Amino acid sequence: MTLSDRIERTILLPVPRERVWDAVTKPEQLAHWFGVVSSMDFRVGGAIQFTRDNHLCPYPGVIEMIEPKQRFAFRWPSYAVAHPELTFDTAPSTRVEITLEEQAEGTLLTLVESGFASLPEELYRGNQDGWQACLNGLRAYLQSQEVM
Amino acid sequence: MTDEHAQRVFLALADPTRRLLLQQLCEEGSGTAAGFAARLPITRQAIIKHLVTLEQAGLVTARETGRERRYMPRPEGLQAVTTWIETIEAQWDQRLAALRSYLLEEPGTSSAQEQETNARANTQKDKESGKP
Repeated sequence: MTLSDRIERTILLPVPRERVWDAVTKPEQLAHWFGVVSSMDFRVGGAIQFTRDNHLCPYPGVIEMIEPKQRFAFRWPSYAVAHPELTFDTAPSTRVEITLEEQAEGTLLTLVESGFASLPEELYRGNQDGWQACLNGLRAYLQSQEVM
Repeated sequence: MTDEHAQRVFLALADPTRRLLLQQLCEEGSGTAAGFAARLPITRQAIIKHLVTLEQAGLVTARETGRERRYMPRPEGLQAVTTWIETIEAQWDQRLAALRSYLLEEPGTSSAQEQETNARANTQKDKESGKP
């Protein structure tokens, strides 16, 4: 069982570290995989703007750490981005930290998102329904992996 | 599991002291408010309040033993959190798979086999950390 309020994912990318660094820190490249990032003031304390379905999220994210080619961390209002109909005094945010490590086969990317437990209560109501389809897919996937 | 229940679980876990209490109960199997008060810098009254919140969320159960209530963890009560976390993990897996496809676009050497290996590595990690 887990009591932490963080998730960690890793992926091995068979390309040089510089290439991955650009893909995770340049807005025009982020658009290819993260989708919702529309602009970024790339410095510690700089703002990140999120756009989803042509709707600019009024709550920006903020860059918290830049260690060139190694580590990049930012806070983002993931819930506000996903629910443009909601307004907040201060949009709740979680922290995403991306770490890159050079390996013989390429670059190991580790992504940690943390801070879910500090999110306010209203966040948890909608999420369960909205993501149910996605969740069912995940379960089916995990089960199929276990059989092999 | 209703949304209302899930919400109670998250509220119960939103407090670091309650997370600490639950973690200790999980590690030690059971505990009492007096036992926690003796080693944590928190009053017994405050600990009782936290334990009751955990109990109402279904994360611990209590049993009367003499004068004291003894609390035990209910790991199954954490299912709501696990479910929610799994969803976020799945979203990142999708994004990271998209990142990989994007990075491999130019050389044009996308290998389905490697993607499968990565997916399996994450599944394995979940198993090790005790997630379903």
